Amino acid sequence: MRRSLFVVLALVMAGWLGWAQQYGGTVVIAWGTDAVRLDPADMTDNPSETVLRHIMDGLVEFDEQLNKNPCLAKSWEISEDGTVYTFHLREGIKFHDGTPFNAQAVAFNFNRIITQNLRRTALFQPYIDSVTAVDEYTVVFKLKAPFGAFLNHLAHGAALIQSPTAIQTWGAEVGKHPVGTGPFKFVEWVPGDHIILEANPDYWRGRPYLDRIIFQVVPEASTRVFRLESGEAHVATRIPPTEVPRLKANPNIEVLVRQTLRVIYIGMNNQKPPFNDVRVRQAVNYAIDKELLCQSILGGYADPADSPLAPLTWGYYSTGGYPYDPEKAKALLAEAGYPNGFEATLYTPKGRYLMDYETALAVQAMLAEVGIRVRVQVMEWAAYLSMLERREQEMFLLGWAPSTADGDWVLRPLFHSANWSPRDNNALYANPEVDALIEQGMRAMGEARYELYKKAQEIIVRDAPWAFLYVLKDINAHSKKLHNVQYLPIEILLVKNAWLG
Amino acid sequence: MLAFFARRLIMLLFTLYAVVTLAFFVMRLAPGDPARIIAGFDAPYETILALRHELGLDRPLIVQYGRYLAALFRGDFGRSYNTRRPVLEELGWRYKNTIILALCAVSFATFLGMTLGGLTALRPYSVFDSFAMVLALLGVSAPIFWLGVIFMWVFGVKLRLLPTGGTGTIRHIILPSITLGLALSAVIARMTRSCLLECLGQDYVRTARAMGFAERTVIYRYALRNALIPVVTVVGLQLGYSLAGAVLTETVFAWPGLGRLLVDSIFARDYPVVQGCFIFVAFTFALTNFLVDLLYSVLDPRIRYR
Repeated sequence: MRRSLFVVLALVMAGWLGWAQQYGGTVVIAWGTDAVRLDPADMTDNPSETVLRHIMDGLVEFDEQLNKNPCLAKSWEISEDGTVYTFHLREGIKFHDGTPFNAQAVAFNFNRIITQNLRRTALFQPYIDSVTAVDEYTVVFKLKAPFGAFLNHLAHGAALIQSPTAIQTWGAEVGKHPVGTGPFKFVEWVPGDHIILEANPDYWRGRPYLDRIIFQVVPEASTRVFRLESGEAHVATRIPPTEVPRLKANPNIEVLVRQTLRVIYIGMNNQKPPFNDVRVRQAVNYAIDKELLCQSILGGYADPADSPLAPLTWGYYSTGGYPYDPEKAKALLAEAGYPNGFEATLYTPKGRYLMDYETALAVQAMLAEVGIRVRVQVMEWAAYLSMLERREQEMFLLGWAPSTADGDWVLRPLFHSANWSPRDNNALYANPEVDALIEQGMRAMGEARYELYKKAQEIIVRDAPWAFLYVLKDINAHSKKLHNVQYLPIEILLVKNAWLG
Repeated sequence: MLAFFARRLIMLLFTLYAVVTLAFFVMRLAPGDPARIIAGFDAPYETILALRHELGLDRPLIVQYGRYLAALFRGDFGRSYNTRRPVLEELGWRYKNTIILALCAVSFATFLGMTLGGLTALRPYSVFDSFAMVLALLGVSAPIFWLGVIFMWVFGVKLRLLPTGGTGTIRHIILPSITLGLALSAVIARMTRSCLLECLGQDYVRTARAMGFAERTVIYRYALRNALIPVVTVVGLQLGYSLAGAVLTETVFAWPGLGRLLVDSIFARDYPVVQGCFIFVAFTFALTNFLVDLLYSVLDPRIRYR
C-alpha cells in the first residue's frame, strides 16, 4: 500500500516536471524538400510518405525496429501454400470525411493500385491476383504465387488506406486532398512552403497529443538549424555533421542519430577487365579501410558494411565482410596478374549522400596504396543515372535503401542477372546460384527465407561485385520540449505520438 | 508612339519564342531522364518505363516540341512531371513571391545606393566618401549566401528580432530584401556617385550657380536629374539581375520563389516547369527593359520614340 502510494506520488511529480503526456500545441518541422503528391499509391518521395503516415493508416504498420504489427487489420491468416492472405479488420472506424472504413474500402484502394498506372503500381501489381471483400470486415488477397515479402509491402507507405469517397470525388487531384483514418487530418498545403495537419479528435486509438503539425520547407540546412535554435521550429531534419557539436552543446536541443537501411557502396563493372576477375574485386575490398572512412570522413555517422543489406533490413546476415588488409590486396592483385596495379575511373555523385565525394577521394588514396590508380569523376545526379544505363561504368559510388525494409528489395533488383542496367544491377553481376536463391527467397516464408538470404549474402560478399563501404546514419534534431519523437529506419520521422512538455 | 509599342511587342513575342525553343532543346540535350528521377531511386524499372510513356518522352523530339508549342498557343503551359500540377499553378504564387522580393530589394538598393552615391559625390575624396565606397565594394563582393547566413544568425538567432526566413508577414521580407538589396545597392551607389560628379562639373551647373540659384536647386533640378539617366538604366538592369540573385536569397531564407523552383526543376529534369520559368523570367526581363526605355523619355524630354 505504502509502495503504491509512493509510485503514485512519483508519477504526479513526474507530471509536474513535464514528463507525462500533455495535450495541445503546434509543432513546426523544418525540412529540406516539399512533398510531391499526397496520394500513397502515386508517390515515391520520402516527404510525401512522411506526411501521409500522419494522415493515414495501413493494414499493417512498422514499429521503430521495423517489426510488422497489426494496425487497421487486427489479425490475419496465411494459407498453407502462402498464396491467400485473409485480413480481419478493426470495426467501427471512420475516415476523416465520415466514410466508414471496411473491407470494401480496402479492396477499392488495392484494386485502384493494381489496375491503374500509378507510381506505386509495380510494388503490388506483379504478384497480386485479386483483392476481395468477403464480408464487411474481412478482406482476402489472392497472390499469383507465394511472396515472402508481402507483409513488408503492406507496411510500405504505398499501402496506406485512403477514403474511397475522396478518390472518387477528386479523381486525379486526390493527391492534393488526402483523407485517411489516421491521427491527423489534412488542413492545407501551400506548395513549396508548408503543409498543415490538425488533430483528429475521433482517432480510433484516441486523440493525438498535438493540436497541429506544420511541415515547413527550408531548403538550406544551416537555415534549418537556425530555425531550431531560434525556437521557430521544433524539429529540423537532415542536419549536416558539422553542425552537430554546436547543437549538442545547446541544452534545449536533442540530436537524434539513427541508423538507416542505406548501404553506400562502390560498384564495379563485373563484365569489364580488370574487374571481371574476382581477385581484383576482392583486392579492392581489402584495400579500403572502412573503419577509417566511418570515423574520419563520416565523423562517426556511418557503420562499416559487411553485406549489401543493412543490419536493420529484414534478412540481414553478418558475413564479417572484408577487414582492412592492404598486403592481402597486393597479393591478390599480383595473383590476378596486376602486380603493378592498374588505372580505372571512379564515378561519384556529389552531395547526394552524406560525404559521397569526400569518400570517393579517400578511397582513391587508399587504392593508390596498393597500386590501383583511380581517377575520380564527379557527375550531376541525373546525368550520372543516365551514364549507368549505358553500362560504360568501371567503378561507381552509389547508395541503396529498400523502401520495403525487406532483403528481397535489395537482392532482387541489385544482384539478379535479369536486372542488369538499365535496371538496377549496375555492377552487371551474374551468378546463377544467387539468381536461384533470390527466386526461391521470393516464394519462401519465415526462417526458410532467412536461410536462403543468408546464403545469398555469403556468396555475394565472396564474389565481391561491390566494395561494401558503410551503412549511413540519419541526423535529425528536435527541441527538448518535444517528447516521444519516433524514427523509422526507412528514413521517416514521426511526431504523430509526440507531445509538447 | 503606337508604332513603337507595336514594334516592341513583336520583338517581345519573338524573344519569348526564342527562349521557349532554346529552353526546350537545351534541357533535352542535357543528359538525364526525368522519368528515372521522378520515379524515385529504388523504383522498379517498369515504373520508369510507364512514366516515360505517360510523359510522352518516348515520342520523337520534334513531335514533343510541336505538341508543346500548340498547347502553349492555347495558353496551356502543361503539367509538372513531378507533382502533376499545372505549371501555371506551380509558377503563379512563386512568381508573385519573387517579384515582391525583387521589388523590395531593388527599392531598398535604390534608396541606399542613391543616398550613399549622392552624399559621397557632394563630398568627394572625404573620409565619408572612402568609407562609403569601401562599404560599396564589400557589398559587391560579399556572397549573398554568406551575407544571408550572417544576418540570419545575428537578427534571427542571437537578437531574435526577425524570423530566420519563410513567408507570411512583412517582417519576413526584411532580411531577404536587405541581403539581396545590399549587393545591388553597391553598383547603384558607385554609378550615382560618378554620374553626379560628372554632372556637377558641367557648364550648365556652373551657369546655374552663376545665376544665383540655391545649391539645393542646382543639385536637384540640374545636376541630379541629368545624372539619373544612366542610373535608371542600372536600376532597371539590377531588377533583372535580382531575379538571378533571388535564387540564392530564396534558398537561404526559405522564400518560396521562382528561382528556387527553377533550380529544383532543372535538377529533377522537370522540363515543363523549367520552360515555364524561362518564359516568366524572360518576360519580366523584357518588360523591365521596356519600362526603363519609357522612363528615359520622362527624364530626358529630348528622347522621343518613333
